[in-house]
Amino acid sequence: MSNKLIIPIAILIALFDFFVLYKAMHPTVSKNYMDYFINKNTEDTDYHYRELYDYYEFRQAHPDMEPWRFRDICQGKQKKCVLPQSSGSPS
Amino acid sequence: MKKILKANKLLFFSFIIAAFSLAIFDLETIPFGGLTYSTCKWDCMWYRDIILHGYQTDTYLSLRHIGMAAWPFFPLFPSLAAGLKYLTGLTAEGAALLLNQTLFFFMVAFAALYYKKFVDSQKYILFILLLCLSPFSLWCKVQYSECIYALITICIVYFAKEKKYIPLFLCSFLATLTRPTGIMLVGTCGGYLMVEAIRARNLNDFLNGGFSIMAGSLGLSAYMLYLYYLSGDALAFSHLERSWGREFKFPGLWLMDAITHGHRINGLISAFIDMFFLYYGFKKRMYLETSILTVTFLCAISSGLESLHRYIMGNPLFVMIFTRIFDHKSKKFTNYAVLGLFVLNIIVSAMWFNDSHYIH
Repeated sequence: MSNKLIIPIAILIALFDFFVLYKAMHPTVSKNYMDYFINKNTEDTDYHYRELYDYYEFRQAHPDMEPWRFRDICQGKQKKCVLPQSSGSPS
Repeated sequence: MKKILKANKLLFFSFIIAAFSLAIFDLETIPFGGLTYSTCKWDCMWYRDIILHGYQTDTYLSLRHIGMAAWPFFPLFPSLAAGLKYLTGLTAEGAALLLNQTLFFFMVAFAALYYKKFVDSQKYILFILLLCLSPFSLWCKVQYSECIYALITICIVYFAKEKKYIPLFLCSFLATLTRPTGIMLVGTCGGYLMVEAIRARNLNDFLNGGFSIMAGSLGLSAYMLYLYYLSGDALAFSHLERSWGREFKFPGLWLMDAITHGHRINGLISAFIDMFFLYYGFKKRMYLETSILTVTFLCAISSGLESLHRYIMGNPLFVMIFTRIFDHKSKKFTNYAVLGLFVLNIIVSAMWFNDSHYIH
């Protein structure tokens, strides 16, 4: 590619990269990810307790696995659902 | 017909061996519960999640995956698999497997072309055999991003050496959309081109080498911007690595940690094997290939020993260095070694189908 074309495109990409770097320096989430998302989701009324997959169901009912992901463990979208306790937390 | 086959001996042979290798691999899944189930392990579940539901705005709260999300898994592979799923109506893991096993043919053919042209014009058949039949190809045959990343890696080094810049820019852009180490690959290749250009005193080649890095940064920035609007953190893919136990330490510290605590022994063994082959690659003057692997190795080992063997040994550039071991060996020894690696491949595949955590 010719020099005349490379330099202006490179400047545009560099500006875009700096814009993204600026955004990366100013995240809108808390630094403590887990606390942030647990707090966010316990306050969220329509949060479903989700699992990535269920191993045993995955093994047994392999062809129709899509619905497994949304398991209503939290009993019908209730606001205060029982969330798993992280290990080491006071009982 | 004979003339065509003779002219395209390399492509024909690579196609036959790749097909044989995939047939053995796929048939081996039968006693383990079938093709798509047996192959879909570990990170495949995350890719499956992205293919089915896209990237989520929150981390998971289930006990098994608490604090985890699919953000560290870059979008090119799952988005192509999602497109294939839409077109074919296959399951998510079926589409991902079909995509990978199709790309496997192209990866083997292109890697063999590269090996014949730039590494060794004589022993390319041995390279094809080792690439397809050894355990190193395991991750290219399952629903991981290894195969597409290997193909892009080969394209990048090929176009860099051929100085075909437009395809190089495109591949650089795609590499950074495939894996977090894509920017390391692109940076090393761009750096190599720039050093070559300084030696040759060629400004245009220097700028083109630099521009390949810019093209790579564009892909990474695009994904970071997407993550920023999705999760609120442009570096979410990196920050979330902590949920997998990965955090930055000086590379030697992870090795010391594994030795003193006696855990992640497979990673420790892999690290020493990798270091030997990196040394051997430089010794054989495969500078570009070994530099890319070295940068990937240092980047991987600075965040832990987990999956280190996959990052290095799953790369066709590693297989190229490995093949050079047989440069001065007798034909009998080479044949027995290929046979031994093929048997090992069958054992390692069975371990994968059986959920072994030693090789994920």
